[in-house]
Amino acid sequence: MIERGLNLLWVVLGLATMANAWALGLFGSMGPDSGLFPMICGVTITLCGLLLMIKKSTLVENPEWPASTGCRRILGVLGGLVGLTVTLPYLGFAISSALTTFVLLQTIERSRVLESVVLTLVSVSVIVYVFGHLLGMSLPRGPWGW
Amino acid sequence: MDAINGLAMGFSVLFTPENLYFCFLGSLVGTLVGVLPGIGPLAALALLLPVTFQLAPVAGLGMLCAIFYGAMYGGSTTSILVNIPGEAASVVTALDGHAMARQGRAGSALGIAAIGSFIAGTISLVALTFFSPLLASVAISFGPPENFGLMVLGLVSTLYMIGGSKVKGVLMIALGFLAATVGMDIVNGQDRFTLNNVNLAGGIEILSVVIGLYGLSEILTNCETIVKNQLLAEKIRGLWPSFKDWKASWKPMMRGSFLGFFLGLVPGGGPVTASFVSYTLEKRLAKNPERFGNGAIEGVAGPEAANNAAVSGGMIPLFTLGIPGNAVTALLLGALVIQGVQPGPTFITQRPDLFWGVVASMYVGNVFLLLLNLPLIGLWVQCLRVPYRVLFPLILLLAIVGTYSANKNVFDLWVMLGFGVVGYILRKLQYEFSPFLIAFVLAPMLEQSLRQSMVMSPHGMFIFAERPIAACLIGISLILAVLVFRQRKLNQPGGDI
Repeated sequence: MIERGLNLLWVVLGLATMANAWALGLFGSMGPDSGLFPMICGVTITLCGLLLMIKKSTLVENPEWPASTGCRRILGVLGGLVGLTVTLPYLGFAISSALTTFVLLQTIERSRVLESVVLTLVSVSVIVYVFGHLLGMSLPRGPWGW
Repeated sequence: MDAINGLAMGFSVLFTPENLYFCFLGSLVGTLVGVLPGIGPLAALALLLPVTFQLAPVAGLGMLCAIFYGAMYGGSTTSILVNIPGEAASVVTALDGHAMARQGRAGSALGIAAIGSFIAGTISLVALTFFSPLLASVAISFGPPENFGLMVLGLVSTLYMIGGSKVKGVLMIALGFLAATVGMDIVNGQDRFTLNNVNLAGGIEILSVVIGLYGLSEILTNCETIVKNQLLAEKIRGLWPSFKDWKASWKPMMRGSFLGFFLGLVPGGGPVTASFVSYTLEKRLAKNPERFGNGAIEGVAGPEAANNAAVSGGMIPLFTLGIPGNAVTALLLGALVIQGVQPGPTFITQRPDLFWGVVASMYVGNVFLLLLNLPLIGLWVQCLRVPYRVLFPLILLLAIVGTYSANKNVFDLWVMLGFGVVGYILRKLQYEFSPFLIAFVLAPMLEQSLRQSMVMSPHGMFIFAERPIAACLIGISLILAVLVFRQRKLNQPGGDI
């Protein structure tokens, strides 16, 4: 079901690419224009999408989708990463990554509280030290300046 | 500059404390990545790519190369001891290596894997040293049509080598091209597929793509279940192979070295293909093939030599033609481009310090790896006890900080998350990422070559038929493309194992 939906998506994406490439222009006074290469991509994507829809042999037999526990863990990690991305500009890297790591260790890995605190502090400190100090990279800072 | 003088210059460039330190660090991290199940070499390279941007080019690239072949060394340890390959190229090593371990011969298996890897690595590096300048001197006469033909051949060869559906492979190539066209057209400044988003004007950041596709999707796959480590309880002894082991292994090692080198050279080949083909070859040549799978040392020596030799082989088309043959070399190409270096026929002459410095670092890294893998095997065995939950936060934070580091832009994180989710779904539906990544990296050069070629000739596309080398390359690509789609059985490497 998911694969069929995805194959349809490829066809739609290919057609949209072709339409957009046409609007960009295929050939100009100087030769090939901006749309030529995307048009080749669009045609290829559409044809491949159609072939995948038609050819039953390309469908994956029984894809190994995770069980409900696995799905919850994956959604948990994604939720944590989305939360980190949203809070990063406001709380800074140290705070937002520490919060996310702690919550994920508690909920996804089901670590003990003390273990989660230690792992969080060690992981965040290592990353901040390596990237922020050793490599001199400027990481986002929170309202407290760190 | 001849190869010997070039190599001497490379060593003089390499022998600074900083360069040697990062070469050693890369070997260490690579071995660790190979040993630890749950993070493959590609994901590790993707996650650590941003670290190298802060370093001098020789140190950064030397470190990346060391991580790659370090993972090849380290991957055999988990294959042999716990029957869990640390990375894909070590899958076949598990067949006989773990059987040897169960028979109490873990030491011999680990020893022959490390020594075989070292010998093969050195042989293929010697070939790389002498072959690269030769190929570059031929390729220097290539114009845009020939470059276009070469890149098309590289992409078609990639399709030939991948397992699974070829249609999905072609689709991934087209998607890679499409993703690369997002942003401003370098020829006329026109925006393409930016959706009026200013963050997309500069194109999609390669780090977001590779960290999402390889790093995050692997993290999500690992999250499905709780990874539990199991360890062989026995003490490992007798790492130096016996005379009998040597006698049985030296021929497979040599065959593996040459086979691996040439398979690495072919676009689409690489360590995984090389190890599977070597295993199949050894099994076919064996007097008693039924021993394979039950602890035949040839089944460890050949594939381990082949996968290490393929690493150096794969560097030749990258450095001399600017064509990545597999996903790892595509990543390295991305790293070079971000460092402001464009690999290709003029790379060796324009940046001899960098080219020869990296080659020298590979020689030194190979020695580091032998030293790390034989005397310190006990340490790596202990690393197998590290639970995944300890690594999990570090890997996750590396993905975030690595992506952010490129442009200091939160938008890149959203792109990375998107590619991670899409990558996870595509993994489940057996899409391969290497054609996508190779196409994504090659697209700007390919499009430029196509447009330049068509401008050069009044006959448009017919220029590819007018130039003999370009015509040959396109012709071979077409024949190969026909062969790809005539393959009735899916091209699973080592299908007859």
